[in-house]
Amino acid sequence: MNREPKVAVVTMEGTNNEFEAFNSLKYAGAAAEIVHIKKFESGARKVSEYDMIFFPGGFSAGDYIRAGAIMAARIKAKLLNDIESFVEQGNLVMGSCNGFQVLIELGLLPNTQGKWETEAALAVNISNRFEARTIYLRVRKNNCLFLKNFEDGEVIKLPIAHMEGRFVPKSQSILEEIVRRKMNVLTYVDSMGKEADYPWNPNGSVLNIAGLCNDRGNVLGLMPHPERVFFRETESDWTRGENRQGMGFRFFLSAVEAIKEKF
Amino acid sequence: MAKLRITVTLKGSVEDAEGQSVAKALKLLGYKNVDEVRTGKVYRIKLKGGDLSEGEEFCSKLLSNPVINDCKVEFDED
Repeated sequence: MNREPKVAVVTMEGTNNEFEAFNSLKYAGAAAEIVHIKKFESGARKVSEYDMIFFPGGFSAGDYIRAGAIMAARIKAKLLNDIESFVEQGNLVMGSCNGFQVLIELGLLPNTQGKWETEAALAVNISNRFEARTIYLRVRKNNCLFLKNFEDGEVIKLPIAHMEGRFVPKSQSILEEIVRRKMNVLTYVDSMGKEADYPWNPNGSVLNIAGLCNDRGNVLGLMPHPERVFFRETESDWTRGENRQGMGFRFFLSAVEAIKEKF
Repeated sequence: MAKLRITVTLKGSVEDAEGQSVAKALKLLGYKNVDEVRTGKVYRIKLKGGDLSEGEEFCSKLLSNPVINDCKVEFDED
């Protein structure tokens, strides 16, 4: 089938990365649509109408209670079964920053036990500060569909901007499962590509975890913002170095290509 | 009408960065006895009916993440 993959960028009061996500998906070849959560709740839109769901960054519902908690609770109340089926069918779900917080709260990640239960939290940064800067990440692509266009072991730079990004697993056994299954696909590293503590790890995440991909490779959550650097000109060092696509480009191109392979 | 007081705190095993900042600030103000500060949030909720069990549901459905939080529900006496 030769059509553009349909992607819903889910928005609500307080999300603020929907336009970057929309543009990234559009320029990567998807038919993106910004959809308010109410449209899913009312049935005006159905999750099954799409090939991919993207949860953008921002401060959904003002980040009151916990970052992402109110958005996740609304989804749990009415849409969680639809989204679980959507994922089980192999469709793609991605969340960056606040979107990652939502995916963790929903239990879509890491979901090591396959029960869709909350197995982790993204707690307040160990610095107790809002951390907003460019960081280094090491990519371990494993089977993650969003990382197809990266080299395994590649070190990349992405922007971060968050207050609650410290990955805390529910138990040591869940952490061991994450590592055993190589779900920790994105790891904070220093400029030499070695794992290091703060400030290289900006939030104090266990094992320097910056992003997780589920067992099947079709759900990715990450604290950094690939959608903010889809174009080279929006990277912090865009006037220096090679002339290439923005680092975020490859995430979205990988996703679009993975969806098209299924057609 | 019932009034509930729901207190959400970080579990003892979870590092409390805000609490550490507060402890440091108190020590800088000269309070040498401060050893540790743990932070949390208090929600005071008026109900038209219902009881503590409804508060427990508020905890599990929205107010706390059981991975990092303890959630205590009690009647609000004030």
